[in-house]
Amino acid sequence: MEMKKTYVDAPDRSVYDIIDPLDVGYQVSSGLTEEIVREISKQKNEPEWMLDKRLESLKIYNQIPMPKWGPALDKLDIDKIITYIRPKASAQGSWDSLPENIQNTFDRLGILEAERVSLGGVGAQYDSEIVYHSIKEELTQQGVIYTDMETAVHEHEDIVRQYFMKLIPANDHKFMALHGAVWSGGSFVYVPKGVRVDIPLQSYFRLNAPGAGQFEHTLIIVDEGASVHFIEGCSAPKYDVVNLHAGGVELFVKDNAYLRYSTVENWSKNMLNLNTKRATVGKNGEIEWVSGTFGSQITMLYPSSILAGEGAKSKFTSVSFSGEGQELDTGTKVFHAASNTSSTIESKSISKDGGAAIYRSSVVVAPNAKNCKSSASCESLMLDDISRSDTLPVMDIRNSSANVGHEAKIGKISEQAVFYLMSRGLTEEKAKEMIVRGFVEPITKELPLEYAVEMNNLISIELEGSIG
Amino acid sequence: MNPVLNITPVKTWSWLNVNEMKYDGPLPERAPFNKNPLIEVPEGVSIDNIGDSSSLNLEDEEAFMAEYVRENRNHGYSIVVPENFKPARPLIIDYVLDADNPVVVDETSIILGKNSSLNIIFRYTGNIPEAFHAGITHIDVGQNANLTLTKVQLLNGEGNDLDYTRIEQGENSSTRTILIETGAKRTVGNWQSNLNGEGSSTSLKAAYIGSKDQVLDFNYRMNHKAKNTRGEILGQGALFDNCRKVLRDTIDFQRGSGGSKSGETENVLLLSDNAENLSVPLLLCVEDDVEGTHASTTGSIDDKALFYLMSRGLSKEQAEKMLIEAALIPIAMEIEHENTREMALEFIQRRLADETNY
Repeated sequence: MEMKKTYVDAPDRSVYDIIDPLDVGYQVSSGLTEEIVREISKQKNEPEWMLDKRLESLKIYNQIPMPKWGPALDKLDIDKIITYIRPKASAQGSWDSLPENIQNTFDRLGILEAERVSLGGVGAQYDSEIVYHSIKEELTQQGVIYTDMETAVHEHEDIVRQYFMKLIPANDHKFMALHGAVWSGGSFVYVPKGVRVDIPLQSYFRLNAPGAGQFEHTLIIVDEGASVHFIEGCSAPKYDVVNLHAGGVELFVKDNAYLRYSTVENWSKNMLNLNTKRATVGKNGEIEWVSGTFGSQITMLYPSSILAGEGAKSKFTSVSFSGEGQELDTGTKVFHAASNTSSTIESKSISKDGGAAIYRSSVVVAPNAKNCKSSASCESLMLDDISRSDTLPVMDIRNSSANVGHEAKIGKISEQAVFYLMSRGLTEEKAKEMIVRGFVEPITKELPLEYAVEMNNLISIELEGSIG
Repeated sequence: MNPVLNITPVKTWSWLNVNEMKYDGPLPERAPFNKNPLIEVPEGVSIDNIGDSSSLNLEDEEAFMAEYVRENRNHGYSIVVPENFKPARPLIIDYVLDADNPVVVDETSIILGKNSSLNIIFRYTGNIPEAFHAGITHIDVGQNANLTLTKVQLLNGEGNDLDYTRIEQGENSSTRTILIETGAKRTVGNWQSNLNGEGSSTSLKAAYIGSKDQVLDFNYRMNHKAKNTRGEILGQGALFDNCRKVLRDTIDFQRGSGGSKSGETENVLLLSDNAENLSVPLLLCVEDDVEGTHASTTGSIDDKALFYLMSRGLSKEQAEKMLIEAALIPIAMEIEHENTREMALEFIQRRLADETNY
């Protein structure tokens, strides 16, 4: 019997590609100059220290060269990127107060429904500004703060100033410097000591304008003994010009605190996604990263965990799906900077139709960090012979009591596994569907149900014959 | 500016300092080597001094090494094994560096005809601080031919060694390489097998001990270029004191390598809090119908195994030495020449005795 290759649909993007008519409140001219940076700061009526930070970041951006590793970024011409677009809407506490087109956009994306059913708070960003923010009353009463970054800069200036771009400084890399110069929007979350936020908070970032950049900054502080699950979603319609996303996410997980940070990213294929995310974890604290990357033309994304306190833990789970014209370079970095810290990494990738999926990681154990444990597991599924999958891990271990293991696997779906399932009564197509869904199951099971369903819906599977 | 060696096939974050090795040791120029290193030459194998001929052909990024050997070569051989010929004994090339001949820069070209075989052993030893070896070995393994290659570098702890191997494999050929390159203060090992012919297979087993302020920098690569090829890399090491070790091992499934399988494994015993241990196991793939795996572990001596041996009456030092030997000796035991095997075993045991005080 001739076995034909399995066909796996690319993720369905139709709902994301609907473009709202442009109705801009204000935008800067394209490019990156001191004048533009000053104008952004003036539009936000920022304190002097924030303007100084922006200008310092701009200076650093102009000094740092482009990275010499990773995907080629020659498509990026910063002179053509509009770094700030304010829609004709300011941050609202009610969806009904928003312009109808913006409200409809987020309704189509399922955000309104999700808020009703399963979220403790929602932030919605449209182009460069947050247009909607809400938080359940009971959380506010417990002292939880969940607001947009601009409001936080004004209303919680001391705490923001203490933490803003301290974990990821502007000189970390060129695109963090860019972010520092032109950041706009994003969310600020503070969870007081001992408070457990049982229902997730979510921020959704929608980029509508062509040739624009989105540079949101997310700052989350989970105080001692507290816990929260934060979900981030993002999308943009497809254009022929390049859009740029260079967001920054800084997470401070204090002693005995817990934070789960989940992201489902579905940027359009003209998007360059150069996001930077980093967490620092205190004594016996825990960070969990859950990440699904499906969109963008090029992604360079490596959520990092600094295990700074004794007993701190990090768990990283990710899936990426790279299709035609895509180069998704994702992974993680873990720094064991204290004793008795532990980390696990589980990464899955699928590549097809010429897509490139690259897993890139580093696990570092400092000389003073005793009895650390780390284990990493990467699996790559290649669905044809025109795609690419590279696994590029590095382990740098400098303490003799560390126990570090890494394993990786690449290949097609096992014919033995298919045979086994068929021997149990499944058809060949159902067997393969089960195996492919099972491949991404470690990720989907970590998300709230609605988002797991969305992630499964992003991959529709039509199976004919053997996979690979 | 220090010359750059051992360039990683795919670059990663530069702060990790693994994309290349900046060599900061001596680079002797046009030194003579006036000894005859041939110990055993099996009948039927043609061996001539390399003379002016050269098959130097490294990748562009390794241009420095190619040029250095070309300009400063002072020894080397051109070796041919005729078709269908399988020598009964190994060919041994034994470079013993001494005060009169402290430097060898060698280039050796080996051609194995179809259906032939060869067991060739290179030994680099020398108990002088000026001992220096740089060399490139090119091997063309013909259809259905079999190669066993052993390189043992046991220079004094002040010497320097830069050793490159390039193997081109024809259809259904097989190669086995054993590397114990671990003596010199700076050891740079670069080994690559190109599986050009369908059904060809390769394996590399490498053992190393890092101690004092040694720098061990390795770059091993298997390029699967044809269908149904097989590859295996195993690295076993023990690190003490203030040494630094970087081991890059790469499996590269290139276009046309459908049906191939390959695996790489590295196990490191890290026995000092001042040693630097970097592992870079890369897996590159543009084919779907392949199976590739890699695994890397770093740890100290297993407590349970240590307890077991001590409960049998061994001292802690004895037990530790035994367990470290157990990780390294099996690779030395694969050497298919008794004298060379004994040399390697003796070196391992002596070095471990120094480090474990037993």
